[in-house]
Amino acid sequence: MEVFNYSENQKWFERATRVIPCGVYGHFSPAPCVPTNAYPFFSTRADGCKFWDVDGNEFIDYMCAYGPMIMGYHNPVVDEAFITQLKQADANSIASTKMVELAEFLVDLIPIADWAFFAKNGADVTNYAVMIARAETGRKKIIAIKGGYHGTAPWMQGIGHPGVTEEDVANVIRIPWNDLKALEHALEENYGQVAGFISSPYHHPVFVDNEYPAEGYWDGVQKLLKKHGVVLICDDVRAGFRLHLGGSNEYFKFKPDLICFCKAIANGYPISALVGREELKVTASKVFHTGSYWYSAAFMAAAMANLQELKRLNAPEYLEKLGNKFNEGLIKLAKDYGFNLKVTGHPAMAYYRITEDPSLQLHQKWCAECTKRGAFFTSHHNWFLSMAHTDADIQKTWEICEEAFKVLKSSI
Amino acid sequence: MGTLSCPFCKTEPGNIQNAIKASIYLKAVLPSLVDLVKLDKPAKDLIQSANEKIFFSLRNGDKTFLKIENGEVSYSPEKADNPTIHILLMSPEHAVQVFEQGKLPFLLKGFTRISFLKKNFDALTKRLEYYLKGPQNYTEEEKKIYAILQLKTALRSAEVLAEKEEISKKILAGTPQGILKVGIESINFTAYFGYVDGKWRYIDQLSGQNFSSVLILKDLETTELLLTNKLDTFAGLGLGKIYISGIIPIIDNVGLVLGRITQYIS
Repeated sequence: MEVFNYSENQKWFERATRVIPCGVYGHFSPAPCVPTNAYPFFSTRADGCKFWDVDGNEFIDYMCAYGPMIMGYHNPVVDEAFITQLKQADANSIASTKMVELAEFLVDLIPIADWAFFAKNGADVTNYAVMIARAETGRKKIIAIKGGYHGTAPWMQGIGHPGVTEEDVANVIRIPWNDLKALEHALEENYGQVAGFISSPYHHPVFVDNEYPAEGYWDGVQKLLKKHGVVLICDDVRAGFRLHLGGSNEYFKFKPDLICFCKAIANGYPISALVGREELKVTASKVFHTGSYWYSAAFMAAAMANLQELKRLNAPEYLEKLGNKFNEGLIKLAKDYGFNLKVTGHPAMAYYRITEDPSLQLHQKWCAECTKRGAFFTSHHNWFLSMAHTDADIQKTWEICEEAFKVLKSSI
Repeated sequence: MGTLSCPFCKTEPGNIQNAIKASIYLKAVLPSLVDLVKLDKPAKDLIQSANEKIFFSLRNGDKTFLKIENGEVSYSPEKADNPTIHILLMSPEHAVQVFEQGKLPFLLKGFTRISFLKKNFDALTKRLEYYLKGPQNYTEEEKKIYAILQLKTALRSAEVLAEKEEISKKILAGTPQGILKVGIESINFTAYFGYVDGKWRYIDQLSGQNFSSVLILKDLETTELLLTNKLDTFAGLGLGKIYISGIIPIIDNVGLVLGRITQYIS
């Protein structure tokens, strides 16, 4: 099996470092890709569930643009909707009727939603949700989960990070996942001061196993928040529309006050949404929040087409079934070579870890060996499946994984 | 005694600031004399024939015990023997003034050793300052010594911050517990920083391979760029100048603590 060469990627990266901080910044940065010389940095094209890098290497993509790609790159239905609207009107001086249609669609699709608001990135709507919770309650503090990610605004980052002041995070209380006692304690200790509780529907941090809510967890959370008059914000940016089209809260059977969506909402076109309950609509109307491109109609058309396709194809069911099949094969392969591959989180976006080495170095090596052979795996983050991944892609990936397990086995 | 003048220091008011600075001098800078005389012949020559036990004590605070014998220096954070010289620092402010501005400390013991303090020990600390102050027109060997002393002093300083600085404590409280291996590939240098026996600390040598994260700098040039804050570390990773593996959050968070050292010493 061919092992990829990345000489052109390196040349481009050297160019990039001269003019761009980090070369490639943020979550696309090479930093967590270990070792970096096993990974491509720049792509030239993408199609279906694959992308090609600047060296011409072909990858079956298990990161799906870190979540946005759910129907496959260049999905003809979504792209056609985008192009059609682009030709009619996109950026404009007044809003598009597409915004109204998309809001109506989301209100119908998502059981808790009585209204919708659109922006561009996940953090736009997590920020807005927190502002609404504060405006609604007249309180300052927000409770979040340790390791939970809600974007890069200063309040969402940890103390000590460059550019983040102590004041920025002073009103954020972090508690462990699945810990009702910690939540109760935080609410009691900050009695009358907590505006909102923000959490993903299940815990999917990086570098560690993902965790589902314990039995009764969300019920307990809802009771405590109701007792204390705290707004429940579900950050469904990463998982949204993969587990359940009505929001991942439906999958886990709880009812948030606000839900943040992004990533899979438009198959890669930049748009995010906050949906909420009727009771918060007036407050939402009072919180000023806007952006230069938040009204771009073509992205709204793409979102609508994408969501309709996901609904038509019953995407969550397909992804769960495909994920279970994929994972069973991977676990068996690992076992055949004497390794234990632990799979956590939802099958459509699972997190993987070879458990023999708690330092993750073995797992990092395996992911690197797979990537160098054409299955794009990161070792720190959950992976994603899409509607474009086929049985043939899964089969090819298993073959790559087997080769990588052989390399791993021979190296220890 | 040489001022050790804060290669490092940005003097700012405030008891906490001075308390942390004083600790860095006592627990990170002075212990670097151990490595200095191992690596630097001129430094070793200064103490070749000396036989002294110097005890620095900050009233109600940190202690440093340096044993100088047979051309070597050993360090202990507590009084390990009967000192020949006892230097008292009345307060963190006094300690900072002694280390940065050359103010005289209180000599409680060792009046007959003043000549050693003024000549040999003063010259020894000046030699340390030569390396800790930052890159100069070093020889190739001196470049290596500079890199090692800077990294070890930084890791020891991180231990001080982990114990005494609120923000560093918060950063490390949210960090997976483990040991980070730090190294420079071209000179085969390694040191460690990790969570051992309930606290984050500098570890000079580690038996076995019990580290959970690795941060390796390719060469001395990369190390100098990193130490002088001229290296985009993310770019360095992509360019292969820095290699990391293992539990990356340990590297990230220890990096944040290391980045805070310049709040106290520059």
